[in-house]
Amino acid sequence: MPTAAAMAPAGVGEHIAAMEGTNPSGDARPDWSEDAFEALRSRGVRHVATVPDGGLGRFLQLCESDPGVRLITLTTEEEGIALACGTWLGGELAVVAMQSSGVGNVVNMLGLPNVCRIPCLLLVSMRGEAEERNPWQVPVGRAVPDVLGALGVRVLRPETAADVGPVCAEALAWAREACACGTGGPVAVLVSQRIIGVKSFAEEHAPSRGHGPAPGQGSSGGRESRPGGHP
Amino acid sequence: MPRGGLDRRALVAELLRHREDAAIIAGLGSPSWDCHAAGDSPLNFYLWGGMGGAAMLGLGVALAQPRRRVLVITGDAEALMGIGSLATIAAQAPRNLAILVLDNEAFGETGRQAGLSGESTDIAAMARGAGIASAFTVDSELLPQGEGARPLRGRPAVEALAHALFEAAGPALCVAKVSLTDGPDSFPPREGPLLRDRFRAALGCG
Repeated sequence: MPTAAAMAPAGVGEHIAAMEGTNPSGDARPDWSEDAFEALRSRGVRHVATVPDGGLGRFLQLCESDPGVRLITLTTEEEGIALACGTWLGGELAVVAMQSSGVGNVVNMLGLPNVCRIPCLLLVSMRGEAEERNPWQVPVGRAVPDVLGALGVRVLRPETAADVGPVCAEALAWAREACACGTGGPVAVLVSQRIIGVKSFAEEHAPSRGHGPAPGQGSSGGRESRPGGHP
Repeated sequence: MPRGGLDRRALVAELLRHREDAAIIAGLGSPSWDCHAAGDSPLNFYLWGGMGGAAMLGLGVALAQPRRRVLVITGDAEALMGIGSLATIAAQAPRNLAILVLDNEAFGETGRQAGLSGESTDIAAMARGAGIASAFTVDSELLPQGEGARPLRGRPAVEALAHALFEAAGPALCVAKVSLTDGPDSFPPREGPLLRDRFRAALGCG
């Protein structure tokens, strides 16, 4: 079977290469995805619901390639909160993986795991932090910890790539307490841009273009998502 | 509002007589009151909030319990708020999940403001567009309307509809046009952990 990169249209291969751990500038950034996946998988997570993000690319690949995990693509992140409540009512845990902007989409639905004390774990790839190149990502990205906190979601922020796996394990334990004894509850693990890398944009790789792409030069603008660390 | 629409309380009560051990997810407002009025069960999970989430909650139960039939009973505005869920559900293709939309073409719980499913929007067509092939609308005589309307022939109508919702391979969605009426108050418990625990216990995973 051809690899995803081989099947992709020109220009997208670079994007996929970035998601596979080598970014366009060749940085070797410690990968957190395998630890996070293993921490969740070994503790009984069989459903992962997502609106994909470049920063989650490797994690989502691991989900997709494990026949014991069902990867559920959503139209909006709030669907994932309701889904996770449903799988738990049916006896199974689900994780909802999203970009930080997706936190803005889940607000009302978080009332459901909160009031019912249902285990619910959000894995959030952050945008809008230091060095963000897209200002439109900043308002919600910056608000994420406050929004989640105000809704009774515990926020955990691993400091390094090596912390992500253990923090996911801790988050899952906390989430489960929601049902077992009512002290835990919905929980979010925020994976920062320091760990993931800052998304870069096509025109920033083309110094001859000056202040932006000239008409007809085919820049992909902000639509490409590269999680790799731009220098 | 639908002229001469179905009586929602009678329809839900009649359908739920055929539920056997199916799990029911009831969307907030009148669909929850209808399900409760038909007879409370630990296998009923009533939503008092989370508007737009009923179908996805049902999908979650259906994926975790693939041998259990799951029926979501919800309203037109609740279904429209979570309309993208139908694409998500179509992609997962759960054979054990069906959705019944009680469509009174209004926001019945908040003062009967006009909804969007009366004049311009066809929820069953949206479901088919999302990829749910078995999606149809039934009118006041339970006669299927429009494209995709096939399952109700050859049996008394309610039994045929019950078959479509509880037995035929899912995912399926039925829009039932109902009158803009309320039955007598019939409120389910509103304690989330209580609803959660009894539902899980009834499914054997408590």
